[in-house]
Amino acid sequence: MNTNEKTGIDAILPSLEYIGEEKEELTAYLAGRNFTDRIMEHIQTTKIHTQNSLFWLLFCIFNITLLLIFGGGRTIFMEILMHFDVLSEVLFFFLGLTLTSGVIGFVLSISRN
Amino acid sequence: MEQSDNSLIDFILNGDKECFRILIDRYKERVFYVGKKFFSNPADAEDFSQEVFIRVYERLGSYRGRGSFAAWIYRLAFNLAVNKYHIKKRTLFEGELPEETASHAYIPEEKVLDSLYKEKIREELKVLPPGYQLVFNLHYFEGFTYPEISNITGFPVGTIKSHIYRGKNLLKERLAVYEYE
Repeated sequence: MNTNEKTGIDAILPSLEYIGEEKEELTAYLAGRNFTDRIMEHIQTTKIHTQNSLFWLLFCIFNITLLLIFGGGRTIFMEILMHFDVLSEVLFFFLGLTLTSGVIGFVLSISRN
Repeated sequence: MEQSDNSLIDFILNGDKECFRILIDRYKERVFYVGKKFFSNPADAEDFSQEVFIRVYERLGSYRGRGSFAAWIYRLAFNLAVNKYHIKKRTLFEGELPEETASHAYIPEEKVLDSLYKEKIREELKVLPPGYQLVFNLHYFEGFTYPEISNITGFPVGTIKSHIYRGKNLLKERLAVYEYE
């Protein structure tokens, strides 16, 4: 006998439709409870991109905070940056770029709601 | 023609919320089935299933189309059960099995393909601890591989294999079926 051949329970299980047998029962129960309609009612008020928008908003706030820290007053960071002129320009340019992309991301995520 | 899950998701993400109704109708029995294995009370299973679909909707944007959508929903359901409802997955594999009745005694191999015998297996599957029913359903009836089930349930592949093996042994014991040599 071929040793790879599935026998006994192994042979029978895949030929059953276990959930299929219960499906009608489950369908009837859920239909009686207006399951789909209740979810649809709920999601009509749900904003799907809320999380994305929140992420972009936090990203923008983080960028602005960094700009304020590096750009405002004589902080310890400024003391360090004063010794590296080019570095500070690159840093502010980079922060400007990330803030711009953050704002674009935020606006796009809001507009898709 | 039936629309694929991915195209429906695209429509939903582009604002057509009604397409989500099709997804719910496509998967509600499966999610509710999982809920019934986690909760003995049907009302709790229903609340759980509803919450799963609401989460699915809220997180549709993070579904990248890698792997099947069914697997993604199952994973979400398992995570919700464990993280919010504090379901201990291990306990799903525990529990007393009801006494076997005389009619469940030895059934000859010739009867293996008999529809009555299949019905008996289905009956026996329903009295197995819920965890075994879940992994059996995922593997044999949904067609997920061991690594996929591991990804869904969070159990290591070895544990899944051993649950399937133990579940089959429980079934065999109850059906008194002997494997061919």
